[in-house]
Amino acid sequence: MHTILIVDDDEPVRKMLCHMLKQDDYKLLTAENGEQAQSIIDSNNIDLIITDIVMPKIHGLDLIMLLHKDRPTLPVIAISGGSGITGRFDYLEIARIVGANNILRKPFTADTLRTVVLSNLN
Amino acid sequence: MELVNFLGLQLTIDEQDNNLFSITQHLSTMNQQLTMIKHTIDQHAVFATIDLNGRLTDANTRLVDISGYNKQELLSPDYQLFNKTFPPYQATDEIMNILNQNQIWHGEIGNRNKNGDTFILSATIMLNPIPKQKQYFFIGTDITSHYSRQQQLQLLTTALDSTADGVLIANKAGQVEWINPAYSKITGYSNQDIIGQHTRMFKSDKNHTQIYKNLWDTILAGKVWKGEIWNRHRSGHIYLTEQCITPMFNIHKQPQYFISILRDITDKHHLQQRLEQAHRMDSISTMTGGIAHNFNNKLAVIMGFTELAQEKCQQLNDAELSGYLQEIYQSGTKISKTINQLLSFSREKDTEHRPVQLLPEVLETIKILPEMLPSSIEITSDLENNLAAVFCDPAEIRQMILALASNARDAMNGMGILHIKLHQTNIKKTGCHACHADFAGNYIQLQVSDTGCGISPDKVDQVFLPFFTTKCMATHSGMGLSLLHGIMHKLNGHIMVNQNVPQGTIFQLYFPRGEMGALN
Repeated sequence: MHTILIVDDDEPVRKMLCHMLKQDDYKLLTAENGEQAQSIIDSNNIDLIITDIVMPKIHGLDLIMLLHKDRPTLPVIAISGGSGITGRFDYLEIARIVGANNILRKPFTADTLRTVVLSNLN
Repeated sequence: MELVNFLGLQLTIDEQDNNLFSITQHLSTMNQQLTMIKHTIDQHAVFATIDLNGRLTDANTRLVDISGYNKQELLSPDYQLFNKTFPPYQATDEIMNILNQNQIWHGEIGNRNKNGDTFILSATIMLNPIPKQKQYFFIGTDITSHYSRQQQLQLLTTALDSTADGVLIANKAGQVEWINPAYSKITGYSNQDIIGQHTRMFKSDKNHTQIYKNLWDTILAGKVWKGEIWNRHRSGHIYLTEQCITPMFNIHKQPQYFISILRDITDKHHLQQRLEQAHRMDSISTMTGGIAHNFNNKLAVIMGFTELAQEKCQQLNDAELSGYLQEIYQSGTKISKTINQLLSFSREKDTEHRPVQLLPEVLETIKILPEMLPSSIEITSDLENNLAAVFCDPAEIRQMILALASNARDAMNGMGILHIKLHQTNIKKTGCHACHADFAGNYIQLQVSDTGCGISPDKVDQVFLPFFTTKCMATHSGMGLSLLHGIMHKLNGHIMVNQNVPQGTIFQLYFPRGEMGALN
């Protein structure tokens, strides 16, 4: 069974992602921010990370960069509703540049998520 | 009878004895009078005698006072009264030439006194009328302080004539007494038009009447008034001025005249407006980006759970509930599209830019226009071939034409002509109606015009703001034109809205040619 860590500061989003993926028999772990995610990664055998970008404490982009450096084989899917308050930068494009394997722009369908997750685990 | 001619008195010898006493008295009186005249002249005028070579042979105390040299020094061969180092005063030779022709010389001479300070004399030099006295009389008046004031006055006049700021002097009744050339240039009125007229001749209707009341209250109270006033030019147009009006007081310390310094700040005002507008657009762009982000997050939850609920309904075979959820999902999809337009406005969404020929894209879009326009709207086009490529995303070109066509449809209320024109054009310096930057040069122009209700000139600046709609566009989300603004400026392009047509609107999109366009 694959273990997926879902990182998002928005509780309903975490819940939604869990519901979307629960039918596929994954072990799903959740974290509210990058800091919490790091400690979960350190103490669990994670196969895939789905992370939001704009989050408190450790920003999603920082988390992706850290993972890309420390665990380059761990696949990361970045999800975001757009940009931060600057309105100038596309965080998802930056996430791709700094190491995210896939990017998903909110809102996305359950099928899209499942397909992208599956392709990364295979 | 022997006559004695003495001092103009013809007396007989007989009378001589009888009148000796009175003659002596007469002489004494004359001597006193001459002494007084000499004293008076010495107080006011320089008197000197000059020989035929122009050297001083005598000098009064006034010249001694003014020059700072004693009489002996003045009469020495080294002293020169005429100093050619003070142009434009004439040198000794030139003055002597005139005198030698038995002419009287009038003029001004300048020199330095013993301390090195300049003094100026207004002088008259003439030949001594007594024959055999080969000398000249020199009579002069010290005009040093007068000359200095005159020079200052000349400097002030030159400065006022040269300054770019308009200067006007009016009396306390408001009638114009004097203006400088810049005032004429700024107002369009000549000196003759203005002098004697009341300053209200410059008044425009654009100012609040309170401004004029406040102005007059201030200056009549003896204070300086500073402010901005819209004036009317002689040709009729309105221009904005920055004015400083200062009262000038009479000996009773009452305002007698007013001096107004005026500067045309219309260009500065427009530039400021443009900057403010650009800043506003920038702020809105930032804000919409932030809003779009939050909306997408919430929408993801709504649509995600709706989709999950639909899956559940399908498992339970609840078609009715599934239908309700489908409605929610479809509404979510529409909102998502609007948010994507917002993101495009805030220049955030990624697009694929490459060199694109506009003609095929425009032709393709024209094909699908009949589907969105009623048959009562005629579609015409005038499309130039062999144009330079434009660096853009073809999908955005289609999106912009559709947005303009959609606006046109509403503006024409379902009936009229939609015309699309594509050609290359050379633009002289003009200001973009959306970003307000100046642009010029060769551009590919895509023009979409309609025969609808038009846009009033005062609304042109607002049409590119998100959610702006006019009455005839009331059915719109108001995102169409702000979308255009976002796309065009990402391509370094510009937009003009022609509101001068009697009916309808012309939108002109200016694309930099492939080699000029650049990605932001």
